[in-house]
Amino acid sequence: MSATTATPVVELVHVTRRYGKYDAVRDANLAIHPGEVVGLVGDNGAGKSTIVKMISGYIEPTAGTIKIRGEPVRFASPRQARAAGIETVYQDLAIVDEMALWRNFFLGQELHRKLLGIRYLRVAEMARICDEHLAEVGLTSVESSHQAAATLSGGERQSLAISRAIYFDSRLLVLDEPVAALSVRETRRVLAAIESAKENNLGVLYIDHNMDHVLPAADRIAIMHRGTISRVVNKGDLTVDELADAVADSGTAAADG
Amino acid sequence: MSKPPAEHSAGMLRRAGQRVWGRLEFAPLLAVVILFCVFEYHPSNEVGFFTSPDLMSSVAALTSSVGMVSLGVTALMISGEFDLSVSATFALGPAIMGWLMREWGWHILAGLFVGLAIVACIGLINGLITTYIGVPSFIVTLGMLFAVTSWNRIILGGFPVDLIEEEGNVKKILGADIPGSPIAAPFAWMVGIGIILAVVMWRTQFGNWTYAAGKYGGGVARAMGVPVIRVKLTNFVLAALLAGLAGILQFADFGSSSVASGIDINLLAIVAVVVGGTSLFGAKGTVIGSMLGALILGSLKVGLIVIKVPSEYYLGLVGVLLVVSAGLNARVEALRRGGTRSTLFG
Repeated sequence: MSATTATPVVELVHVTRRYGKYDAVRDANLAIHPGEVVGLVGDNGAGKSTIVKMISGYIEPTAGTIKIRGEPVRFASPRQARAAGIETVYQDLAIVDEMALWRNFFLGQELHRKLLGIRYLRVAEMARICDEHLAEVGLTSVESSHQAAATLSGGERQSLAISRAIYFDSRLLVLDEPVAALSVRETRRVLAAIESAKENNLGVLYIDHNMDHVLPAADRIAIMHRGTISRVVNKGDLTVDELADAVADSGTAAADG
Repeated sequence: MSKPPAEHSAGMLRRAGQRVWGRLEFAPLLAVVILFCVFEYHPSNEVGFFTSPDLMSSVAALTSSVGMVSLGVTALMISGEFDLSVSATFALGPAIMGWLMREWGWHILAGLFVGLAIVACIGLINGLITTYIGVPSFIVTLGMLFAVTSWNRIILGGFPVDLIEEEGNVKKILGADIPGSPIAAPFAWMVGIGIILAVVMWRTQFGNWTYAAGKYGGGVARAMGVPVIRVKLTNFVLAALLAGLAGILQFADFGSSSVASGIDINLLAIVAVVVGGTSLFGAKGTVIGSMLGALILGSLKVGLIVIKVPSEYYLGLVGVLLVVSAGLNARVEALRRGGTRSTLFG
């Protein structure tokens, strides 16, 4: 199956976001297909975060359209975006340290039974499912889903968030600098989790300011510069040298900014 | 290769120990047991402590007011917000109820429900200003504390209000002694509502959302689609409602209320909550712990008199207790995380 013939899970069509006179994002076009990892690379202030915020329902575009599986959508809240199958994993806002792993895993979509209008948690079932899925993404160091999330390392936290997206049948996984400040071994763990999401046919949007982080995971790489997507590189079509050029380009772009 | 049996059972013991040690309620429960024993067996005590029905009656009365207020404050603090106005709402509930009964001859139940409804509105206003306008709840509820105190003075005009319906059944259910015991009904109300709230916090979706709302100003919860504002508003209303109910229960028990009712109970409730193991930074805490914290305060007040310590020392000891337990919580948390210091020297 060729990814490009399927309907994209998310598509930005001439999307602009303006703050006063300043365009944070200008006329951006980007499509992410099922089972495809698209890297979004650019310096701080290039507009990456603005794109993430629009896709995950925090802000609306000033102009242009966001399509989910071909249908134009408008999200008024992150809750609506999540209901449409978009799971965003933020660097800092992914996990509540104090809460048990299963509570984090099911946060916002808890399995429950209704009794007199009150939603009682189905704890045993959630703990079991959480255990299974953590094993699936390679979180074997976890003893029990009842332990507090504070016991997880940085990479394990990202993996938990990714396995959560797989379980909830999300269409698009948005990762905001998932390997920043992680060790090599931890990074490998997160890349394995991304691979697992890909196998489950999720589209993945991988945001990072560092091309080196994105290269091992991405099928295509979009380079952002001053609010516009200046170039989209198809990784399979390029030789190692050309890739190195692309990296250098993003470097000069960063230097300009 | 299997482990030797001795090591295996030692591991199981350690895990069981960790489970008890890991409960937030462990420390306050231990403190209650120690206090009870010290007061009971202290050499200068001539009347006993937990063996004396009269003394337990006083402890229960002191515990139930602070305890009931602390229940709502706990849920609110776990969701990451404060309420300093609960001492004013504590007095407002009975003020409205007593005034309606005295001036307009209302039935006690009508007064009760209107009192609770108005108190709930105070909580809602606290919550709306905090969540929609973005004023920190510390400031909003401090302002509300003054405003409602002023309103109490306007309603009552400086005089106490008496609960007129002297021997009605409603009054008995709210405030009379539990049949066959020296303990007044408000204590049973606190325990009952406390247990219900504990189940809600621990085993319902709303409870899960309340814990999550307390982290990073609700950032994580919001990203996960939790309606954070609704959760916080509910907890603001709950804190005010339970404070008003506590005031009304004390009104039914004592038979009278005034603008001075519940003075300092906002701060004592926060002491009970912190001593009970709830974090000032949200996302962590238990309702049962807060009830134990209130029981510690009540026992301390009565117990000091019994062992002939001058009552002037009570508030000083409460202050020491607060700071020591907050310090212990921080240290224990560091130990649980594997010995790394979290506050001192980074």
